[in-house]
Amino acid sequence: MEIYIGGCSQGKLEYVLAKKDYGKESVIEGALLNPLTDSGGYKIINHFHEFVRNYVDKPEVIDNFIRQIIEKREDIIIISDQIGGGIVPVDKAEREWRELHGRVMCQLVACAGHVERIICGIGQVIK
Amino acid sequence: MMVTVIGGSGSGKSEYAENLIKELAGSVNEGNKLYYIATMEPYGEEAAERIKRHHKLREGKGFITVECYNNIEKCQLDIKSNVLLECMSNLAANEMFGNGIKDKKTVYHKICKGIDKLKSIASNLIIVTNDIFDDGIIYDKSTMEYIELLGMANRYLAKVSDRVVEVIYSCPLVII
Repeated sequence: MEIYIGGCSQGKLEYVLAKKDYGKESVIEGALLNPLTDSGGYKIINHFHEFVRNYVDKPEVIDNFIRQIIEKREDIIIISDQIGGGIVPVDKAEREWRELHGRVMCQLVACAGHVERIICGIGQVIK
Repeated sequence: MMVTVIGGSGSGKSEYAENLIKELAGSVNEGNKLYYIATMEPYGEEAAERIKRHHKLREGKGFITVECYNNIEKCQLDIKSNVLLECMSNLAANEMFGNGIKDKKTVYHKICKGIDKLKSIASNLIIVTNDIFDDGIIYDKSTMEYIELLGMANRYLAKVSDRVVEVIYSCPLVII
């Protein structure tokens, strides 16, 4: 598993597609990802933080999903914004999303073979 | 040795800092104590939950927990001990808003004094701080003052630390 993170609008997807020579058909958007129904026919999950936001009320769905990709999808690439770098949000759901996303990312990074942070379109290997 | 550990929410910075202070401390005993200075006041359900989670993370690691929500310059600790303070963002908020709103410069100088005091006592000191500077939102005046205060405090920490480490989803990145 490979993970690419960074702020928004840093060219993360573009960077990964160029590096891997994959086309857009290999990409699923985090916002559209439904682990209960999808076929898993993708190589890249883009905007993974949006998937976490969609299931913030059902953390068990997220847990199951990441357990599955850790066990079965060595080839998967996850791209996510870093969203934990601000003032603690006033809104409870926003707070929970940030916390949960951070913890899920820590779990994924622990199992990933390669992690890069993208800034200004440039990759910095952090694991 | 003094280390500043910085990271965003859910970055894994606490766990990293706890493991690092244990490593620096070596074998903990009566003459080589390991302190955890907790700065979060247990107000409300969420804070209580968070404190409980952190307690669990520290369990069995040999920490003596000292609750100190402000005035760290008055904190009584054994000399030549190992100290982990978590975290600067809570301490700064408590000092700034805890007892009527205070001016950021006054609070800044007080916090610096506290850091100097801990540094003079501890043989190993780790201070955890928060990266709250990346959401691009313009908040109300007092929140912006607080963000500036924490920025100033973090710069002071970096200046007096031997090492500054950023933690990104559990990956440590040595900055200095």
